[in-house]
Amino acid sequence: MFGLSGYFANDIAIDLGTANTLIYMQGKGIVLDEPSVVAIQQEGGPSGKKTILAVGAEAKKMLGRTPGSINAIRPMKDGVIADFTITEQMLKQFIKKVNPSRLFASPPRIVICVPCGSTQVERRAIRESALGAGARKVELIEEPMAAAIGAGLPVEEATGSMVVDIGGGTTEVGVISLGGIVYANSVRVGGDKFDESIINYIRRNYGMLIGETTAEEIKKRIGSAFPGAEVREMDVKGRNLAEGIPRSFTISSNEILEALTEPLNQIVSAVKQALEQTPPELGADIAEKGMVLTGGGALLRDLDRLLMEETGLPVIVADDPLTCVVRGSGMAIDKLDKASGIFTND
Amino acid sequence: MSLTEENAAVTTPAPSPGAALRIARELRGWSVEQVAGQLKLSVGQITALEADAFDSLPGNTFVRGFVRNYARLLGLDVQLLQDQLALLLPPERPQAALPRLPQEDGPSFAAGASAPRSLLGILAAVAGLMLGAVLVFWYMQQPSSPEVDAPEASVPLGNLVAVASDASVVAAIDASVPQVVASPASSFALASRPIGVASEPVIVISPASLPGAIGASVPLGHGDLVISAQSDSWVQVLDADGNKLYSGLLKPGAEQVLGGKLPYSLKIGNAPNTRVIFRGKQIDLASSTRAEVATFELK
Repeated sequence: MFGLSGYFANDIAIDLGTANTLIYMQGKGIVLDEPSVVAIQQEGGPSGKKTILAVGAEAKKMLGRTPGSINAIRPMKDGVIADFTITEQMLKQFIKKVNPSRLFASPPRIVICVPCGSTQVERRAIRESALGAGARKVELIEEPMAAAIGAGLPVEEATGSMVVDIGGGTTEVGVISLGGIVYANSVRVGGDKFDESIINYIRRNYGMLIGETTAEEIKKRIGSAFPGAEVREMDVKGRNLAEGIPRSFTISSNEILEALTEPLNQIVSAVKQALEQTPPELGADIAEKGMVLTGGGALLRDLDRLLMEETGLPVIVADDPLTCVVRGSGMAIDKLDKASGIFTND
Repeated sequence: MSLTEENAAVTTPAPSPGAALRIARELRGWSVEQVAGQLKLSVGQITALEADAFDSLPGNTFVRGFVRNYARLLGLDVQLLQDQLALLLPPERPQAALPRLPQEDGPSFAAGASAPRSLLGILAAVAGLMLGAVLVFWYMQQPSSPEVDAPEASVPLGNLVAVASDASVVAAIDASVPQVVASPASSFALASRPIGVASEPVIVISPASLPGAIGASVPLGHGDLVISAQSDSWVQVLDADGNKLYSGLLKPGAEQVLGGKLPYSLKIGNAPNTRVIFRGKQIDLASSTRAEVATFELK
């Protein structure tokens, strides 16, 4: 009556991503967007007490720059939990940040999204982690569904919609119709793989070692998925492997394109595979409307152009692709009380 | 002529997004087919975009995406076109992205738990707490033996009867107010009290003794004996069984109406100043008086 429980608990939706964690709160919108990084301080040797020094953006600054006693960790890998305890602690900190404990407040219900390719064990880990972080109830939603809802696709209509969500750890390809997933596939390629490919390319071709943060910076500034008319260049500093001394060198967008070829090909293959598996009626709908790119990977320059050329279909990038998944999960909160097929039962 | 046209073009308001795209395409000398091939769209979709005919396109999300791609291809300001487009596109259906289920008719827990609903929740909680506090306070204030009031409240109307000795009964009784029984024809009035109601005052007005309505504690039985005093007089009346009908000091002007099982044994301390009326007749006390104390029996 009067939504009393609604007052006492603010239900939240979480996009627990490999790169970033976003939290959407009912009635407030996106209240948190922080990197999924935790900095842990180890006191007095390996068996000493561990304390959380920082989470989120503050911890990300420490990545690769920590002394021996501090360890900056990314507890998510390939879209799933790599370190259960740290993930739980990180979630707890984030939830505390956006939902400070109040008198009479009951724990929030949480909608949390999982990669469609994650195993039952991985889903259970995410669910347990959220419960351990103080959730009253946890519902899981598959990322392609959340991304499609967040991108504003007509998921409930009897028409096929295709969404490609390129996250930090995984790329999810989904075909959705009538409120359900017709086809979904997940490949463990995403922003992190792009960074890794850039690091490997530079080490192989320049004999230089760069860090993850530098690789990400290169990707954002001159990264490209399709050869363009303009060639951009960037000065990069790294350690020369032969000399062991930090050196500076210049790298061009064409070289980064070459570096990214392998992970990009995996994404293209996943999309083509999805199109092959899509029933012809839905395929016709997709041919007319095209596919929608969401996630941070969609911001890679000319990725839509690459997919357009490879598939011959229209490809559009969603508005605000970084937040599509969490916005979609947030909209799904309204469905928590209803018998809705948008949540997974695993 | 061409100058005039140029002036007209300059002074006209900014073209719609579709017109801007078409003008930019024509300036580059591209055909609709060429653009359609680049964007992997159909010629019809490009034509619809240029004509601002958004109804024939799949939906707002796709229209925005198509315009963004088209503008980028032509090297136009994407953000400017998007802003113009936002004014032209029809409003999106609320919750268009979510399946509408029949169960949604019921009260929704989570939907739009916004400030007004929260406020109502707070008010309801505060009101509930206050109501609880009032109830507890009221319960604490209750007397521990509520039976004092209970019989009075439950006295039925018919239990209260007023009887006059000469059969003139005047009984208009309200259970909740003191009763007034008037018997104008008789010299005295007898009032019968309901059993169990001891504290309720009954006023008997007798013309013989007026003025001076007397509050009397009336015993059981027939009220056929009336004792009145002109000055202080000690009186004791016993019935046949030796029960004390009355024993006490009658004050001047006071009158005692008594009744019980005959015969009565009377002892009157100040006989010369006491008047005894038995069954309507005044009794002569002088014959049984010795040193102002009268002791006698009435049958």
